[in-house]
Amino acid sequence: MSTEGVLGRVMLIDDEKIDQMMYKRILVRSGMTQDIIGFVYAQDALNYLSDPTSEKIDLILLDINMPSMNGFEFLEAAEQVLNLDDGIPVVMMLTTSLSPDDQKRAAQYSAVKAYANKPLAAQHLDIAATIMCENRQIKSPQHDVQKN
Amino acid sequence: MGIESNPNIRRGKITPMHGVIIALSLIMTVGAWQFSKDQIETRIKTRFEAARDQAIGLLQVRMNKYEDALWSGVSALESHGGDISFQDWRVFATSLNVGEKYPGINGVGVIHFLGEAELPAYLARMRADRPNFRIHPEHSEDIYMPISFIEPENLNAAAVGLDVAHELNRRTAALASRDSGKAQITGPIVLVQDAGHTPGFLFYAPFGEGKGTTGAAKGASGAVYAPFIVQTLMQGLLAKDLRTIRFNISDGTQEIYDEHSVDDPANDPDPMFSETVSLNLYGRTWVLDVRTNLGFRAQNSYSQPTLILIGGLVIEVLIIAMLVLMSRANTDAIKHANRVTADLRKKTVILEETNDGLNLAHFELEKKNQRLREQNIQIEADHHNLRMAWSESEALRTEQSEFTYAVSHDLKSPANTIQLVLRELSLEQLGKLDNDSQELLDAARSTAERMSELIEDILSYAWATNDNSQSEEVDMKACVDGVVSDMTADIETSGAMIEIGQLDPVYGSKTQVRMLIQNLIGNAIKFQNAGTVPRVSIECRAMSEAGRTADGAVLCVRDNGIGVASENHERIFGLFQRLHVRETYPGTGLGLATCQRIAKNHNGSISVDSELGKGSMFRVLLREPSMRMSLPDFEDAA
Repeated sequence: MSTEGVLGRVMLIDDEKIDQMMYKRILVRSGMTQDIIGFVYAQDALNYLSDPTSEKIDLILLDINMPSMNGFEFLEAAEQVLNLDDGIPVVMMLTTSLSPDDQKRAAQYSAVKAYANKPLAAQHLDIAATIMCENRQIKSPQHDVQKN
Repeated sequence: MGIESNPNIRRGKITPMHGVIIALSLIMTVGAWQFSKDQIETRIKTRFEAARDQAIGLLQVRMNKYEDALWSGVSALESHGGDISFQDWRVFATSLNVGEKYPGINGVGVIHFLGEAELPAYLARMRADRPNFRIHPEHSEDIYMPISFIEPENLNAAAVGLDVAHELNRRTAALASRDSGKAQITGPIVLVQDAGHTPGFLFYAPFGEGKGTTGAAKGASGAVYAPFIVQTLMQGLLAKDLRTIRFNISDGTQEIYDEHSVDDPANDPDPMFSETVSLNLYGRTWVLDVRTNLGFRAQNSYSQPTLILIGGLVIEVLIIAMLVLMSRANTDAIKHANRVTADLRKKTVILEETNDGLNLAHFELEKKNQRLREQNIQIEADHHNLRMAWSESEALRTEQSEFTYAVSHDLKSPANTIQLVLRELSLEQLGKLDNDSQELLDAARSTAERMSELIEDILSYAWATNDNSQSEEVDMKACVDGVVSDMTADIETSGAMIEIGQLDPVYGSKTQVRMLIQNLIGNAIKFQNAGTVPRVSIECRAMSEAGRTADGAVLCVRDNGIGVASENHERIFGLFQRLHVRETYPGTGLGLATCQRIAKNHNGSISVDSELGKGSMFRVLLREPSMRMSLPDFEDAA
């Protein structure tokens, strides 16, 4: 099946500009995205999500270690501000090294559906795509489950 | 109980034994005094007698000597055939040298005893040499005793021709001399040649046939004579100043010599000794009244026995006082002992009662003690465990730090290699790459650079966490100057103004303190709004608490930068914590964490006082680094 645009609109939250540039290249190359929007400050991303006039985001790639507001703090604030329970957007945590503590902590947030060890690679995007398809089927049972 | 059975000791009074001691010592004192007094008195009396005998003896010797002189005159006369001429007598008298050899004698002369019938022939003979010779004064006696010659004549001119028969004393002695054939002296008379009219006497020695017979004189007979003035005689006898006795002399009722004058400075109105001595002298009896003078008193004082007596009595008083004191002390001691004994009895009773209570308490204590011992064992075990845990933690910390250091250090070289490779690549491909490739290469290079920075910062941090450098006094001025000098490039680029205030020295690790200053000044310059000229001030003040000497120092670094929001005041000191993306303010998030580590190493702390947009002030308390940890010592507490 075609994965064209399957990831929809993707939000990148990572303080490292170069990392963002690389994510964008990978995402563009995969052809799974419709749009990419990046933030170096989590706060800015939160502001964007809170804004009702903003475009709807389907997937968030969230870094943990960031200046000022880190990934967990962003999740904390987002739970307060946004209604993430509808499963959208899907959050994928990006970590340099996935420690058990971080994993445990991330599991407390229902929006977090997947983890990806940096550096981000194409296969991470496949996992994200799968999760997102499953998500859509639960939410809209009239659609067939996509198979690889 | 022994105390009570001895009544003497119990009373503590003066006993008969004490009395005996006092009496005996009194007797000894008085005895010594008496003995000494007797000795002294005997000695003084002996001295007086010696002085007396010396004076009298001298007088007698002197008179004997005069007698000898007179007899020598008689001999001269007889050697001239029973009589002598005026010239021959003068020769004899001159040879006798009266003035020199016989002090006290006034002269020596010849008296002829004559009957009425012999007078004309006698006068004719005398007037042959001395035409003016005459016999005087006239008298009614039937014997004439004119002084024929007297030498030296000039002194005795008044006596020439004097008829000694005219006066009773002179005549009596002359006749006695003639009749007895012995030398005689007269009773007191006044010499005709003595202008002072003082007492005197004549000394006769008879010659001629009439000598030793009674009745009228037959042939040439007479006496050799010498006139004396008693005072003159005595003056030559013995120097008055050298004597310690004075005397006067009486002949019959008449006093012929007197030394007992109240005008004499040595006169003793109450003489220590006085004695009257009768002296039979050539037919007269002289009575000598001998008395001691003040000189004698001065040489013979009674002070020695008096001193012995006083000294003895003083010792006596001391002995009595001592005995009294001893008996009093004894009495007090006994009273005290009795009191103490009574107290002790009472206390013993109380103690016995208390003892029972104590035994009970002791039993309780033993039980508690046992429990404490058990607890103690537990505490010791805990202590041991704690120590082990601490050592282990120390070892771990060190190991971790060393590990971090090693890892960072080992990472440094591949990171450098990557940088080298990338630089080489970009140089090689300069101008040949499309924009996309160039962008990727630049990204790789900047990331490699960032990696190097990160490794460098981790190394610093690791080094700060495991520093074993020795503490020393850090000259903050030199330290700050060094840092400013190192950062010249950054300072000039930013145009920063660095104000250096008072910089008191700090005790600690020099390199760590330097690292601290470098981080703080670096931050102050870095975290600035674009276009603002950074103003950084730094000072370090020694701190003293409640009058104590410096207990540490506070380092303050103030800037006019972007400031830190209050919610981030804690966070900025965390590991890898940054408030900004690297593009805005580059950094690894290790600088302030390292600063905090250094502050802790110096038993201090770091804090920030800041508001967003209003600059920051970092305050670091630094004390002398001590041992990392000391556990309370449980051994002694057990």
